[in-house]
Amino acid sequence: MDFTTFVKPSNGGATESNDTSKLQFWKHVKYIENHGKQEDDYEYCMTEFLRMSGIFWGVTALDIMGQLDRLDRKSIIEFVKRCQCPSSGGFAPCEGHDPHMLYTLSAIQVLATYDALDEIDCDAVVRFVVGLQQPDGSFFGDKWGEVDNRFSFCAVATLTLLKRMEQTIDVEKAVKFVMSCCNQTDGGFGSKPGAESHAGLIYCCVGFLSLTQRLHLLDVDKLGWWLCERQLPSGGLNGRPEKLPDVCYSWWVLSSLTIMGRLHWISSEKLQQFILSCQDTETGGFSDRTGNMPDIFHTLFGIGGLSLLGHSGLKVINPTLCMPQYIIDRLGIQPQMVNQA
Amino acid sequence: MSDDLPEEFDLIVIGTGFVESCVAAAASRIGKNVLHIDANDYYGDVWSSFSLEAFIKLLEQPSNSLRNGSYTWHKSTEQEEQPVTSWTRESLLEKSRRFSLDLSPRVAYCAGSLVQLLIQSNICRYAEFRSLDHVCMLYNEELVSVPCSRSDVFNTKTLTMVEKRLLMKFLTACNDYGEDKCNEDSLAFRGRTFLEYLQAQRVTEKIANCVMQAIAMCDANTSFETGMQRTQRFLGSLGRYGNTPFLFPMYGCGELPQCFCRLCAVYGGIYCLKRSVDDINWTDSELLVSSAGKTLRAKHLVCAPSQLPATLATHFGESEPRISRGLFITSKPLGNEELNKGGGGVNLLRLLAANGEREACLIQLSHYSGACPEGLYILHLTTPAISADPAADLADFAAQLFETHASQILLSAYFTIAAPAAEGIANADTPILCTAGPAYEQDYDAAIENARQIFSQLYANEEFLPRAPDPEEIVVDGEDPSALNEHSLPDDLRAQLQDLEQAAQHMDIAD
Amino acid sequence: MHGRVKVRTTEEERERKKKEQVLKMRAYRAAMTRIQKKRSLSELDDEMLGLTVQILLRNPDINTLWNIRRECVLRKIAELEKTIKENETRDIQKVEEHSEGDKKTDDEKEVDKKEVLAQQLQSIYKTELELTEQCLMVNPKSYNSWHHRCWTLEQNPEADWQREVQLCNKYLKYDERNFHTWDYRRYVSEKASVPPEQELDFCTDKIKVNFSNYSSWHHRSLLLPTLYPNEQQDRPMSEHKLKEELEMVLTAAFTDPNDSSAWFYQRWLLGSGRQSEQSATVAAFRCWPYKAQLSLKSSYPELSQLTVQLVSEQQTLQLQPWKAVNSEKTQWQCEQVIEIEPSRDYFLDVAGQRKQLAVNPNDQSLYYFVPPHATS
Repeated sequence: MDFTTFVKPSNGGATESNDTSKLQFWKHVKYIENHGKQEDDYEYCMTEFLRMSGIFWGVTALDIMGQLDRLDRKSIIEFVKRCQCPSSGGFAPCEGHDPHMLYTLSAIQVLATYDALDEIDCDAVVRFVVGLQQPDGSFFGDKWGEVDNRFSFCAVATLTLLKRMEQTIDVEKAVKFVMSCCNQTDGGFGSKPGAESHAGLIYCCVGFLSLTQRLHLLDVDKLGWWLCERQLPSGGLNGRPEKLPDVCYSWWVLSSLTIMGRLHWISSEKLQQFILSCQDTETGGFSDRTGNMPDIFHTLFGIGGLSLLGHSGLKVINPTLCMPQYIIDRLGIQPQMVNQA
Repeated sequence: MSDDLPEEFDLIVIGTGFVESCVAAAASRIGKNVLHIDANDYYGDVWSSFSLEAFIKLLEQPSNSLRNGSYTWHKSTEQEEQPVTSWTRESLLEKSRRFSLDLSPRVAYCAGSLVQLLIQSNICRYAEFRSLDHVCMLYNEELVSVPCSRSDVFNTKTLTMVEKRLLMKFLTACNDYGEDKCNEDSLAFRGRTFLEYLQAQRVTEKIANCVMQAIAMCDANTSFETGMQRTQRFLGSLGRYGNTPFLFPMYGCGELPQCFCRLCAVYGGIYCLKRSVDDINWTDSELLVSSAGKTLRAKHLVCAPSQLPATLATHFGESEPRISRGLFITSKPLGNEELNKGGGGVNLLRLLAANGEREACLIQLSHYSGACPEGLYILHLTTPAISADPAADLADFAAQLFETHASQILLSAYFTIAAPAAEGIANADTPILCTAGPAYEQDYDAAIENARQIFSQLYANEEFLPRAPDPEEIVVDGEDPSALNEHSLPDDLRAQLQDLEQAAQHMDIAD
Repeated sequence: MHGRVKVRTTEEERERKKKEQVLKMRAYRAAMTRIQKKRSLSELDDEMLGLTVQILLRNPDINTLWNIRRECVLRKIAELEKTIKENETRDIQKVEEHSEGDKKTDDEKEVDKKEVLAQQLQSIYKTELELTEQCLMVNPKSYNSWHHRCWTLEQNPEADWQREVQLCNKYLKYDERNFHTWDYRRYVSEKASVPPEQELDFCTDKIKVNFSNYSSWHHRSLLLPTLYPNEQQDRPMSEHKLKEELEMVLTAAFTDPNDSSAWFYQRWLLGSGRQSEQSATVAAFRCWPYKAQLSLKSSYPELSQLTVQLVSEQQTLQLQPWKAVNSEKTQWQCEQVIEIEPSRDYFLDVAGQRKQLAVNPNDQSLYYFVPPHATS
């Protein structure tokens, strides 16, 4: 399967300069549209093992930019449907691969965005997710037993979007497991008990607590301090102390701080500058750091970050689910947030 | 030497010392047709390293550039407590070939001109280095390690917590000096001495010693600017290849000229060792070199001072003492266990004479340098010559080292490196470009600068040692430069493609 | 010209790279097609293992291929175990058939055979471990390679956990911050029963090399409370050890005040230890004339050990005893007669934490809850 068939003929846009102080809106739209258009793009071919997430990143970024109609809804939904595993109910990243929690969430996010959840067997998805919960409350990524808080987040996010959190998984135990990964030193979270705090995992766990309405369990000030210390002189944020800044970490830290009502603890202006500096002004798209090659993953988190920062011309993004807020509202979902302190 | 040797060259280089080898490589690299000859049967001239036996022989045969040689075998004073390690003259000579004894030992700053040149020219492919383990100083007659990195500062027990902060603050200020953040009060020290600046920072005496002796390598008269520049050179070389800012070439400094010779040869340079030059004559357009009954002709000629034919010596002045050298082989390293973890450190120590006016440099090599057998240590002591008696020149420094620090010296040797006084690149009377002999310096800055100048004099508009391509980047004659040949593929892909081809023969693999 | 070598231009180099990529893609697609076909035919054989190696070495993140390998490994193990079982039954039959004299040599043969089978089994695991090791060289942050390694070791009752600890030492030398390696280290050192003292020494060494190693400070923070417990639990560790740690972290801060690792660690040292875990932090409280209910932010083992008082200007009332009403021990109840005078100001005092109580006008009960930052 190829992204080509998802893309409608492009209808062009205004010309822009190569200025990184402004959002190169139309170049990014083109970049996402063109992603995978070249029949034999090497990178595209070699990343088919995460295609479902790739589609989620592209679809969401375009939707935030109000350009969702540039992709062909029908063929994307068809693709997603083909990836549902008939026996387990989970979703594979693409045909010929195995189902996994990560791609199951991406698939549900894409379908929710297209308001097409009724086109698949949702009960089977619920069965898949429920079947991966362990006696200690944690979740496997698939039947092969890898445990990680990323999967706890995927599980509750999937069930939340399907509105099936009630009476499916053991929420109390799931919460207990996530909280057993909370580190005393900084209030952050790692992938499993004892693991070092890491912005990506903090996003998963804070997001998890937001979806399970348990944000009161967080030491918001302690964790908020650690998170806002991620901002570096360049304005970008890193994922752990003494690491380089990265657009995707900027999203993870920023969304966590937003959920915790502490967005104002970092400099929005400098972060915006950093994110914009990671645009590729020639090809469009965002890279991890200034001057690097862009990719679709960082493009979503660049645009998502700008949306959280209130950049004009972008739709509001929900920090917990990383999806446009209007879709979350349409579904009637209310992830918990902490009031600004 | 074979008679099929061509007789005409763009450049003939006589002597394979460091500077000559640099010039030869640089000329060859830009496509010049180079002949590189040396009267000795080894590469490197006075920049070479020797086995123990060869070294002793060398001391017994004084030459133009190496003189006043002397050596003494010492009885091991070690008692029976460790009979295994009691070395004798015989047991040392048995291991003669395991030694690489340098005539002109140096260390290289990790970001210094040698390392830059090796990287820039891609000659680093031929070289191998060891990061120095410790930079030392003498403090209250004790040999201590100077903290060279933030982890050193963090770990050291010799500085108090406040001293750690003072030192780091001072070094950070030096590091930032000259940038935008340069604070105004340092401007006030322009034209004054570095010591005055240091004192004004109100650091403790111990820190002042660290900085003056080991980091900035200054004396009381060093100007503020020079001291700052040296400190920055030290700091700029930190954190690159190891815990200290210095590297030492594995198997001795004698390896370095050979690296350049290799590059020269790769680009077609022709090498003849054991080929002495009887005379050099010249016309308006070319130089004529008489050697072994043949006359070789070249457009240009570069010659090491040590290998100038006697007939020309007068043009370049008398050779006089330049560097006084001491070389000691011991069975015990200098300093405590901390400085010699795991069987001995490769350490550097700068010494100041009692009156503070003269300095010497000590390099301790353990077996980790590849220059001596395990359990033995080479101590290279070097100072600018002030007389024709190297032992006398070094007496003050040797006393600092050996009187207060128990050592087990097995062999002590002294010699002088000499070079012509008038060290011009070109002598007005002759078209011969004479290189400078080794000077007293820590690194190779002056030597490289000398090679660079000679090169630019020869080929004014050419680049000095640009990056040499790796073998796989070179296009073979007649080959399509954009073609992929099978050998350029990664091994695993090649194997996979072969497997696939085989499989495709009896299976239905769609392409 | 003599000595001049021709070097490819960047354009030519780019073209070569492209050609190489086309070949790589062709190889990838052909191998994937073949793998999927074989899988559909349930051919979980050595060829399958070989095909997955080719792709995984270049891209260890393809989860499905690791799944296939696990299927192959399980199949191989099952076959081996079947052979072992068959041999055993044959052996029993033989024992019954043969006389005493022959039995010994048969026994020896049997031992050899068992040995061979055991070796075959071990070599299956070894292949997997070697492959993950190679893949981790390609991508040391490959979740899938790390997990496959754990999975393989878990399959093998004779896994050499000690060797895994050594492997971590090696990897952490290469990248001292790789959190995958640190996670793996915690996992294998527990399996190998590495004494925590030894782990602490390892941390100290790492910090000596680079005190900006937050991973190492973190690992340290997990070890110290167990190695040097603090009786009162008002600090993360014993007073004596705390002093040493403070000295170390202050030295780091004095050496480089811009290093944030030390500051986070210091804040933890000076914080109230496992307070949020061990002490009772009030989330909500309510009391009626006949009972009181208390909700804690996190579980507390025995609330009756703490002084819980209802304080007003006129009197102080001890609330005792408390019973946990949920299994997490976060909800407690105390059945006691409590005189409430709604016009007075009341405070709740739990082990020194004082909370002002409000009066519910509906039933005159007193209550407190954590100001709701949280809204939906």
